[in-house]
Amino acid sequence: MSGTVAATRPVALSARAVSKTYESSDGSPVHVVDEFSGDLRGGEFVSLVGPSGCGKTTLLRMLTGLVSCTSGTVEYRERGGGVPPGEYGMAFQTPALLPWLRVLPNVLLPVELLRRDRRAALERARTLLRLVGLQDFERRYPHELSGGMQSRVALARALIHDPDVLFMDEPFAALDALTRDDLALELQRLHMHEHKTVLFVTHSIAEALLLSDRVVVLSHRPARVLADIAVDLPRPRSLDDQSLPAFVQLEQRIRGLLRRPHDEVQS
Amino acid sequence: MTGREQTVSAPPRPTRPTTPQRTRRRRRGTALTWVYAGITVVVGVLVLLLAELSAHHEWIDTVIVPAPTSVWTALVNGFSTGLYWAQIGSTVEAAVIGFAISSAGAVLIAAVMSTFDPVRRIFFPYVIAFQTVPIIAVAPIVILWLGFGQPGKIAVVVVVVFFPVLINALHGFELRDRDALRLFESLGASRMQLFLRLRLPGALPFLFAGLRIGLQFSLIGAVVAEFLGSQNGLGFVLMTQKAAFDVPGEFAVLVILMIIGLALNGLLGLIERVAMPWSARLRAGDRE
Repeated sequence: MSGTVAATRPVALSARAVSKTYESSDGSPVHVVDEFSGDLRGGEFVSLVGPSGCGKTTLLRMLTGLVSCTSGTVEYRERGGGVPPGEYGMAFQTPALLPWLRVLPNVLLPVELLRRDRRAALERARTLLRLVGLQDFERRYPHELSGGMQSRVALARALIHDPDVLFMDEPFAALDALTRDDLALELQRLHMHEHKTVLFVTHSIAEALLLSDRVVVLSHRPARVLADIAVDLPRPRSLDDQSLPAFVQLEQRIRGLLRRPHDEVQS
Repeated sequence: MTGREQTVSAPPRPTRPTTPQRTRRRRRGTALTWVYAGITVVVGVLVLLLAELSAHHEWIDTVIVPAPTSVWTALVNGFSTGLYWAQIGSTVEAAVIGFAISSAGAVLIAAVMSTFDPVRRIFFPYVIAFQTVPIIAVAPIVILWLGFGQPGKIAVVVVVVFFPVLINALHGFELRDRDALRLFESLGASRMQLFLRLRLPGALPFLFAGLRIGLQFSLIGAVVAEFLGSQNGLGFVLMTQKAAFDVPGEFAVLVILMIIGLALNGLLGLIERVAMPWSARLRAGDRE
């Protein structure tokens, strides 16, 4: 699936001039997100790339409606408001597995919290565990698994309730570079299998380009959209593709965009 | 932990077969465990022997340190005349009933306080204030209110056990994993789900730590309440024996109290292991 195919799909989630201002502890306002606008089409994989602490997590939480917008609107499938619980899955910087549950019940947790039929989900849980290569580990406790394996379980958990949208907030941040590459490829495989609409927050430009149909580059806080870059490379993409001229060119362009505010400070 | 428990709690590991090396290491660990256990026993026997010798040669006055054999005689006499049983029953009953009421109440109140933030913010200052009182000092007033019988004793135990359990439970119910909380939020989890599936299981290690302290306190509470004028219980026995200068009898009661404490603590440990199977595995895993 290339970016052009996804571009013909209907818009799943759109944000219009979304801003967020917090009051800091000394009472002065802190602008976290500034007039963010963007569309997420059905089945599209979009990455948000930006400096750390630029408000990406807040933006994700506004899109789900867990955090209110100071101004602007979020609309999910023309229903108004953010994506409701149960319609989206989440992956976080940490696997956030529950240490008292074995792998299988950890994967099934969303189904239980959403009060859906656990028996029906069992088959899907096993399929997902097989897809992430953990079919032999369903009876293990999280602490018996490596960091990479725990992240795989978290991926399976994010998909178990067959959500429409997947929000991933730097899901591989705590992993070493090799495991990270592995998991990125696995995520690509899952995405080609499940065709979810994915919003993926990352600090890694290479990771974003490997996985995305589009990369949205955000500025330093308050987060503004610096560029919205289509990645028209055929799928499945491999790690070797990262040395292709088209890939390198995009990478340099994004790196240049992210460097800009730093240069302004220096001049 | 003894070697036997270690093998019981070791999880099956189909993908990692037990290599000869791993077996050897485990076997040596088991052997060492037995050596240490042996030394522990020998130290105890030596101390008792020394006390016995000291009593025979009157190195130390037997009013201060009686001969272990005389303590044993007092124990045997006490049990054969049936003196102890009723008193043990009275003390243990007060301690266990008081402990059960108090810890159930403390855990429940902690659960409400941690789930509803305003409740916690309003009442937490009182928790801190009462916690700083040396709580056993409340015993005379409680006895004044409720009398020297079982209700008074149980009430003293309730008061004494309450705060250590409450403080630990409050600490335990706090959410420590921010991403886990966000996961629950993202799935629209209710307060009840959040409590039952995140707060409560996460709190269990803290709850059991609090219960352990509470259990020790429950025996202290019961015995002190009996000191204050009860007509039964091991505390009452201690007071009458003191009046009669029956030092071996006093030590015999201390031995009984120690055994009761150990038994109750062991029971709690058993419940803990059943309630938290994942933590037994965690400990077994750490050994590798």
